[in-house]
Amino acid sequence: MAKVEARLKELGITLPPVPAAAGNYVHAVQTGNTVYLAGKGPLAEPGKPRPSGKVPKDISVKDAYKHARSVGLVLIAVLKEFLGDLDRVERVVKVLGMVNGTPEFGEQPKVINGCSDLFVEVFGEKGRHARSAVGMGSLPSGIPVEIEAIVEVK
Amino acid sequence: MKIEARLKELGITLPDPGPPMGTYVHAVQTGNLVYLAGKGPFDPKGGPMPSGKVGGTVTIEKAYQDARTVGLTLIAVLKNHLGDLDRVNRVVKVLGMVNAVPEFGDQPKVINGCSDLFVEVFGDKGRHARSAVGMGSLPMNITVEIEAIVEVK
Repeated sequence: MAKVEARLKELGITLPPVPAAAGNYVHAVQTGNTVYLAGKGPLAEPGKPRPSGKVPKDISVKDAYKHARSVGLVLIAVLKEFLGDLDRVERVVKVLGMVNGTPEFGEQPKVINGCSDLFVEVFGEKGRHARSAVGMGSLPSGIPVEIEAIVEVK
Repeated sequence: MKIEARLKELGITLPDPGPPMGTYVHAVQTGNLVYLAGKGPFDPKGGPMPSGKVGGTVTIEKAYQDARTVGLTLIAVLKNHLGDLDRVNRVVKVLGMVNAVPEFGDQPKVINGCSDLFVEVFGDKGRHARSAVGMGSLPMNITVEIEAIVEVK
């Protein structure tokens, strides 16, 4: 079994299905050995509606961290669909983590760590990335987190 | 000049993007990638750019048109930078920023104005990865700002 797939199994992670694009765009574009991933949002937890609301007014930092992890899983699922084999990931280069926060919110890094921690768990040193974690005025469908990424592949 | 012919077919005249509004340049190329600075819905007739919060004083339909206008400006910047739009190999990535009220959730419908234009003009080469998000504020309170990364040959 491929290395990253084995690692996912070890972590007990099943990748979610790739959701349909919510607009006239594609999930991933490769230029040279760099893949640009479109911004994605979190999935609904089983039996619950898709998360929406402002951090920390409607959604706690702890829950938003989980949602950022959920976004990370979607991004990995997109990568797998695009690359075929996750062992082709050479390095997660750059992450832009966007939090739907109240104007005074200042703990965006703690939220986006949910995605960053996942990338390091799954890809090891190759998962360590440059990052900006910032607050947005609003996000599509009121989702609490949206994350896009740039990935070097072989 | 395939793309020029396509623009003519679509009845599109590209605007003059004007000078940058700060200490930056419209486009920087590194390798075969061109990074385009964020642009607003520039009025080629010299009028003020449309302003206001989408979901508040500005409708989704109006903001969609504004996003298309931004797309025209980005194509004009590309033409000035490249000389020939046939050098566009792929629109790689778009970051669409909507000046919206805090509760707004239809950013994708707004930014489609730019994305639809790119696909109309460049065909499959215009299909891009994208994030469409809401900002707390934008320069001069413009409704939409969009930046892009383009692969060229």
